[in-house]
Amino acid sequence: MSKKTKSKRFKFPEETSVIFALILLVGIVGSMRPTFLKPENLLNLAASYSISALLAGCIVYLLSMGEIDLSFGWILNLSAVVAGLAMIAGIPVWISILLGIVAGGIMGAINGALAVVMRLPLIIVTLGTASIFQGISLISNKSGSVVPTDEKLRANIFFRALGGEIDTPIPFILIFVVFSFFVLHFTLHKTRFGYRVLAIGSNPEAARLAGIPTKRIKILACTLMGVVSGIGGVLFLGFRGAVDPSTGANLLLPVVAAAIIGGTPLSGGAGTVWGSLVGALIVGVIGVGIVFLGIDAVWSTLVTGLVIIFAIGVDQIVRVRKNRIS
Amino acid sequence: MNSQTTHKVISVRGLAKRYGGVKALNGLDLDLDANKVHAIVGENGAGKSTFMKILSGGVTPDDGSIEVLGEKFSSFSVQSASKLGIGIMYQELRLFQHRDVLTNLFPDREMRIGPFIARKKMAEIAIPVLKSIGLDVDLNQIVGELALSDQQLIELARVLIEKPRLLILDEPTSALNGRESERLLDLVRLLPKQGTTVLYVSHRLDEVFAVSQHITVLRNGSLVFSKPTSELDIPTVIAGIVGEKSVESIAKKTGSVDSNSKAEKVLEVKNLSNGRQVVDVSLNVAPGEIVGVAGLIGSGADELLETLFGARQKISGSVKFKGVKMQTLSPQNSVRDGVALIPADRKRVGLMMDRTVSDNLSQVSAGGYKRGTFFVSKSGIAITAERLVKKFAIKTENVQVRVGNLSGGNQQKVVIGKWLEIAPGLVLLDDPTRGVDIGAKVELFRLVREIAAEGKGILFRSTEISELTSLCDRIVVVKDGVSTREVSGVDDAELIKLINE
Repeated sequence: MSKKTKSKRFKFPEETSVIFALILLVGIVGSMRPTFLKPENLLNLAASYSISALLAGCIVYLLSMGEIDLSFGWILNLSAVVAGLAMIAGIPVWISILLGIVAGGIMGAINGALAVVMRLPLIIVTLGTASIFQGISLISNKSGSVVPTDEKLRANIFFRALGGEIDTPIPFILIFVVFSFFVLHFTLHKTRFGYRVLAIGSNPEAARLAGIPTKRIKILACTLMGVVSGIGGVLFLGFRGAVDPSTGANLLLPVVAAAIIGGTPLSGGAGTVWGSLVGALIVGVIGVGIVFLGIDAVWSTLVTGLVIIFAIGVDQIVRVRKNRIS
Repeated sequence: MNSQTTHKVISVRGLAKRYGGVKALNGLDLDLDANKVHAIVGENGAGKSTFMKILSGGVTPDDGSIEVLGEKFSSFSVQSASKLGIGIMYQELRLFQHRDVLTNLFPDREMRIGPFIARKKMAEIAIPVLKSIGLDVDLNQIVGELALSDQQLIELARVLIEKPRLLILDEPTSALNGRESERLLDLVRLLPKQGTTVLYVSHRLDEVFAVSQHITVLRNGSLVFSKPTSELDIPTVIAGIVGEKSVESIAKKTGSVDSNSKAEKVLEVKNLSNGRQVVDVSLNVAPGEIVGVAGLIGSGADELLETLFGARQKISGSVKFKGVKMQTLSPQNSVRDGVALIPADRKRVGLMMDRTVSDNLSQVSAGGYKRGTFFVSKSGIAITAERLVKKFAIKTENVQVRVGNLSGGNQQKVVIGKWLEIAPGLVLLDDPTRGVDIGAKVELFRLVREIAAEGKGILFRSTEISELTSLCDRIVVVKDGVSTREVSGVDDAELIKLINE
């Protein structure tokens, strides 16, 4: 028997192929429209897709657990509404921000608790709660936009930075989101909580029998999704300055697509946080690139759909191959 | 020769089937007369189920010829089986739990008037059949709401409706109580007169003698004997099933533990019930002792270990672990208190099949154990895994190999390894040799002995009698959910008699 050595052969990280796909895509659009490659354009693109990237980084947790949350778009909306209304009501901005994030966390916890108590898949539960959160949002802002007064937002350094009024070489929101990705990646792969999430996704019954508190972890993961959606809501409020009733309505596709394109399987047990960031950028490049190429923007949804099918198709072929070899 | 009366229902020559290195059937020659009830008996792994699966067309033999109901086949498919009128009633229920009785009785062969389902026509056929087996249920009732015994009878009715010429029954009474079993046996006895030959597969020898006219004994994939029931008695059949055991192949007991010693018991169970399969079980395990649990399928022995671990809910009774009374049993508490369960269904509930050996070995210590740390380091897990792989001699290229790629025996070692990492005081082994070849079995038993020698208590359930008699210091016999007696130093034949009585 040959003794196994630590450095067998160089292994590319699992995200290599998506990164390559992203570079390829940027190259294609750039070769046809060189202005696309201007750094400020690319940074703007990244900044405008950073909120959906952040949510994608977190939905990876739920996908790794074999679950999916359909309500996060409306959690984002309602959290932003809560924060916005609090500011309008005269509550200090920092506390309003906190209120928005806490509201998101509570909504996430409700999702998780319902799924655990009713023993239902999260997808079913959030189908219902999504409408509830949307409904509450519509009632509380009377189907109108929530616009905290300018001076209030401008008085807060966080919002000034988000709104781009403080000069940073890289958009502030991008810095914030990349930092969040370090935290999300670390939590999934280096902490006990992340370990347990992946164990539940691999085999829920085996996880339960190994003494893992599966119910608590489920609720915690949903709460995390709520908190991150809440943060997303606050970022949105700062980035755009207002929330309207349709905010968050169109997030489901780009976010879940980003996670799947990034390489997180829907079957659970595995997930890549960094992959989802790359996936979000791919979705972004498709959306913006189509406009650059002079194609009507309505095509971007179709193309995104095709890319999803392509990504999961490739993933499935790789998996089937692997199983056949073994 | 009068072919009308003596024609063979089954005639096989040199039938062989191997799974990997295991010979499930080893050149079987067998002739069975038509219009009789034939019983087929043998231990697990004797080749009964492979034989049945070949007859139903589900498994293709590697070698040999099959003649069924006078027709010769070289290959035999599910289609040819159903064309010939071979009906099979499996031990596991194959019912659509969410649909009604009538729909279940006509799976994919429902009658139609034009494009519409003709429920009335189907009911006219179904009612007499249900009546004949004494099952009184509403045809519109959802099957999942019925008692398990009724479900089993529906499974039977579903086969009988096809009026099979050959009916294969696999442990048909495993979910039935005494009275229901009687009813079923009465029915089976009548079938040959109606032109149905019956192959009756069961572990319960009393039933076999009550119902059959002919008994065939298989052992290790070969025929031991095939004789009319009238020429046989129970001891002869048991001797045939057990054979001259090569018990030596399984490492013999090293030293017996004095179970009456004053040392505190690792486990004390009094009147345990889970409200369903486990009715009233009392037993205890001393440190260093291997206690066996013996019982037929459906006796409650299957569920006992899961109930003790907390995977199933306990209804009443007391469980003391190392002298401390356990208030609630749950997997989390068990991990905390050092109780390990090696589950029977390794693939479904024991392992994360798509994950690496390393991830699986750390599942309990890093994931479930209370004293685990907040941070989990991949390299730390891998180092632990490498140590465990060496300790338990798990055959794997490295610890980053998918656990699903390992052989059954090595998978089982991973399950055992992940639990022993938290140094449990009590190990519940639930049929650990299922799907494990004989070489790995010997190794597993050596491992179990070593674990016991470290002073841990072991509760060992097995469906194979010889494993229990050769490995255990004491054996608790469970019947109908009740621990009826405790024995030690019995041989295989005695134990078979005990669990059958």
